[in-house]
Amino acid sequence: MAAEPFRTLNGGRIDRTRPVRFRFNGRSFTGCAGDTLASALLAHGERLTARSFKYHRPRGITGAGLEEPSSFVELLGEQAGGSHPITTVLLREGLEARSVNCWPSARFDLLAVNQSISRLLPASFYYKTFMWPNWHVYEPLVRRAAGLSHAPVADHVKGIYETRHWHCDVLVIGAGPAGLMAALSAARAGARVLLADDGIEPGGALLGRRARIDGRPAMEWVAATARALDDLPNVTRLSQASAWAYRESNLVVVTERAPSRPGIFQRTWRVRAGQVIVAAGAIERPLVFHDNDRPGVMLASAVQTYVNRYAVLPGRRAVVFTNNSSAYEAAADMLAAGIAVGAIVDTRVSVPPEAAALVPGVQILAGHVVVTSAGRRQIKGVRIRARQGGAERPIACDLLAVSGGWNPVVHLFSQSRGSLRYDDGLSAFVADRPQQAARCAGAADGLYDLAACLADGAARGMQAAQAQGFDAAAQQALRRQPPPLPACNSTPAHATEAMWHVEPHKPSDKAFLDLQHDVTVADIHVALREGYGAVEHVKRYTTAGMGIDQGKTGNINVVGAIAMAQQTRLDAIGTTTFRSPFMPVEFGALAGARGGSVFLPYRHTPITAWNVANGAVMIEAGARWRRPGYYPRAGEAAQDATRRESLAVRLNLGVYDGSPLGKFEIKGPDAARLLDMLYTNLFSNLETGMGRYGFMLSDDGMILDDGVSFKLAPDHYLMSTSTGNADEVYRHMEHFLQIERPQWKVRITPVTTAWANATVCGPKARAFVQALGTDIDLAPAAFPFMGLRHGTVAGLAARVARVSFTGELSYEINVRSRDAMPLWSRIMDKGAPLGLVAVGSEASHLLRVEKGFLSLVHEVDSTADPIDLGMPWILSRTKPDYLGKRAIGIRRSSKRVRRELVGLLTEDAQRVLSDGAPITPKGLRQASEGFVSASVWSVTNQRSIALGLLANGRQRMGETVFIRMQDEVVRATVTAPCFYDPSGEKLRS
Amino acid sequence: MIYDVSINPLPMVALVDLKGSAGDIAPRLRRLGLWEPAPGRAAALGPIQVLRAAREHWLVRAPIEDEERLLSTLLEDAPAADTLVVPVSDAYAFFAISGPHARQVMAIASPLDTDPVVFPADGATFTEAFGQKALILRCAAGFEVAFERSYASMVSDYFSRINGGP
Repeated sequence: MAAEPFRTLNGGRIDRTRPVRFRFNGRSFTGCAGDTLASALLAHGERLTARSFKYHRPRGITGAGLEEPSSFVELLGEQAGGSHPITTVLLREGLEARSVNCWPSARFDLLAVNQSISRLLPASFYYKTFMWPNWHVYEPLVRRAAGLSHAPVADHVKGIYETRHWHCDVLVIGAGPAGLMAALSAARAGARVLLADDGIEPGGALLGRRARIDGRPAMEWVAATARALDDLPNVTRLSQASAWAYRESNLVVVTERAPSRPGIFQRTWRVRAGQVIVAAGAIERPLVFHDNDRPGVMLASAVQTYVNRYAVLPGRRAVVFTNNSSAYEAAADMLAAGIAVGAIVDTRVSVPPEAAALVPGVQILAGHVVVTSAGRRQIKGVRIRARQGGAERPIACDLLAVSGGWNPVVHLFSQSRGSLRYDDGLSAFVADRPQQAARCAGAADGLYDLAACLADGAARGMQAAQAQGFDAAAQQALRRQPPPLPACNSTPAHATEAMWHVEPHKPSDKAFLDLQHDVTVADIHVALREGYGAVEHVKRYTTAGMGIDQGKTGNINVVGAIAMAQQTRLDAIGTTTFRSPFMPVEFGALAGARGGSVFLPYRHTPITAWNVANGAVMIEAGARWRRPGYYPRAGEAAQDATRRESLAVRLNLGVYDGSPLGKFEIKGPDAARLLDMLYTNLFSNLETGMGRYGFMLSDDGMILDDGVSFKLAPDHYLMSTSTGNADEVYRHMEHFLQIERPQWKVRITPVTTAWANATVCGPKARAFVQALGTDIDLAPAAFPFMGLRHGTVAGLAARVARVSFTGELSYEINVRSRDAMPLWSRIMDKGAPLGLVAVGSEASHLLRVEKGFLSLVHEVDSTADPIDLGMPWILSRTKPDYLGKRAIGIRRSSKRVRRELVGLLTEDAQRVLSDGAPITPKGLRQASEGFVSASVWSVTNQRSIALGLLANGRQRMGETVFIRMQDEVVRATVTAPCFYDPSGEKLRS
Repeated sequence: MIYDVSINPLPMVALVDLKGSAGDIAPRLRRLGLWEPAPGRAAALGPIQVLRAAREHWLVRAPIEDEERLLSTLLEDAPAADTLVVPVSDAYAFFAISGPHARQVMAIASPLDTDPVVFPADGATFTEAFGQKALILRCAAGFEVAFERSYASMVSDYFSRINGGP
């Protein structure tokens, strides 16, 4: 094992018998099992671990947990990913990591040149520079310079990401003293409890302290309590599990970084909790003074943690700089571990005697401040002076432990929309009024005394259980007793004195408020001078509190700096919004199994396998259905296949799989009333066995869907909708019935996937269906256009409808889905010798454009109403009402110019337009007067044709319009929007 | 294999969707020897099972070979004007999830709370799984989940990925 000069011989919660080899910035090291990357590097005396984000200043390790604002690493190899706070990376064999924000290395970083030009890089410099010739010239360089780590390029070999749902009565976030007591209380009361803790082992702040509970080391109590929880069947306990988002309906998202099950790399829990207890502790904040960012300037609690938990000395000779009493306990532990404490610089004029008693013999400089630090890649000393001014004097040190007070971790409570209030006694924001069933406990509730934390946790746990209906009677039934409250000595009161920053000597002195984003006191002043007075504006102007930090360490110092500058109170300033994620989360952990082949949902019809086997090019065709776009033959291009299939339909026979069309059975005494209300035209006068095409409008009078509904029997209808809108139409109908007309007696059952259909189309369709064998009379008089007949086709029970999307004679043969493939096979077997071809959706589209039939998302684009589409006749004048009627009336009364459906014939007959291309006056770069909704090369007309929506289009027949294509302006003549069989003779034949 | 679980697509079953008032539906169920379970619960007599998806919504399930008999029994009397009886055997694909880790797999698939206290042995409900509408039933060996048949391939794909498949 390589020497670890800063590791103590005894103590700590590491396993010295299990060496762990790892690499950092290309160099090999050895640490111990139980180390973090940070503790292992500190044990080797590595101080320079990162560069800062903007100025690329040397940075070291500041914290000991997820609050770390300075050192981030990118992991390499099998667990590649970043940016991880270096303090949260557990050491494992073979770990490889590198510093971020530096190139080529943290020791020698070329972008450190930014330090010498820092005067040119004030807050928001990027809003005012890089203007000439334009931003895009600089963008690649700036992005590279600003980037943190790289996204991994390969899947994790250690396993998959998983997301799962979970329900519990009480979710406890944090397994420190308060969290453990809360979980035990709630669980003993009978509640289902989920305890999620961010650490590798429970204990929270106790892991880094030498506290005692019930007369024994506190960690013994922690272990016993954890065992007690594990023994309860109603408790699920997660470690290395960070709660990072608090959504509505008490949904909390927790990511478990090292699930015990092999094959799972990370697991995200979407927890729906009856009650949430946030016992996430408190975060110590730095003190702000000139050059407060040097490697070796650390949070006092972090130093205490490294000493006690990891048996590491972050330095040999320390100075402590504090404004509260908690740092005295840290100093005492430093002394016990062998670190010389040169002085405690306390901003308070009066130091509580119980605090001073913890560090006998240590020089306490009350009423003093650290003015600046010395050193470059590591702190070498500090300069101090009396707070009210006076001479400065140096103190040599290689470690400066700072404590600017504590912030309760209220981030998740705030995300739950609970309000915060500023507590003068704590000099911190604490939870105030919850908006959901959430409460804070322990240090997160502003209680820093251990005994108080334990009592608060027990009380909060019981309150949460009772709120869920678990009371004393429930406990008695379970024969459980509430946990006894353990005894422990009270810790000295923190007695924090607010100290937001030490005034720098000169404005250019860098005193960092937000270490992660290099935001200084001077930056805040710039923002205020420029008029960004509100804290949210300051945040945006300076980036303070953004990114991974989310205000963990810097937020309140920023608020304090604003308050000082504006000479107001902090509660008048408020905080910025704490956003999720509370800590970095990998994208994979969000997605879980939803990646690769199921990145997007997909649906198949019973014919899909045949389509794929026969070479169809499958495309998404609305509502996640994968349908054949076209069936290319060997050497055939997409366009050629589409034209061949289209011609077959126009001249002979084609068949397509129309199964995805939405289908609903609607029945009840008010079924006809419902259809009359949903559609713009009349359906109640339909004859049984007949159907009608209709438009369904939304409340704003725009077209929601189009389709055909058939009358199956009195009070019984079959509704067919577009593929893409089937689900939306179902929601629309159910919403109307349940909310608007709950008294109507109508039942609706979706049958989209119960039925499949093969649509035979083309001039020879009738003869072909007859040849398939059917007991249905296909004669036009017996089975007219828009008719629906029941019978058998090809030996299979079928519902056959005479509707057409291609403009040709068509028979839509609907069979049970299980019969779809037999039907399709018989059609192909019988049809192949007759020249029948399978037709994809591209050919269907071409054919419908020729006919001028409408398509959702093309012509029906949520801006057009039926009159715009040339179908005023479909708006019933006899019905008293239908959905959208009033909105259409209001819109029409405005007499504003409307875009109307037209046909477009390009002057160059070969030039096919692009869908969506704008039509502008004379083709100039001006506001458009319309657009091309669909354009194809017509197999019937042997030329380019198009449909479009054009301002006042119907009054502009014969006019030349100009379409702006990507490379040219194309001229076209406005025509009627139908290029094939305008009279409908063929489809009605 | 990450989880000790068996996930199998089930063969097609006869399934009839009934919507209507309890007064009209209950006698039809009684003809099959079934009774009305509470909403969100199922009841079974031998291979025939009724699931009550909502106050006025039932699904009756039986082996596919009994499909015609099932339908004819349910439609023995003309249904009330506002009763809708629709065969939907083809509309749903069922999967059986069984084994010691069945509940864990369900927790990945669906936000439904499958704790036995909340979703007991006769639990049956429409909910969401893999982002789609799904019918979930508890059964002796674990769970049965039904999706619209068009999603069957995607669901198989999902189940495979959950258990470490490609």
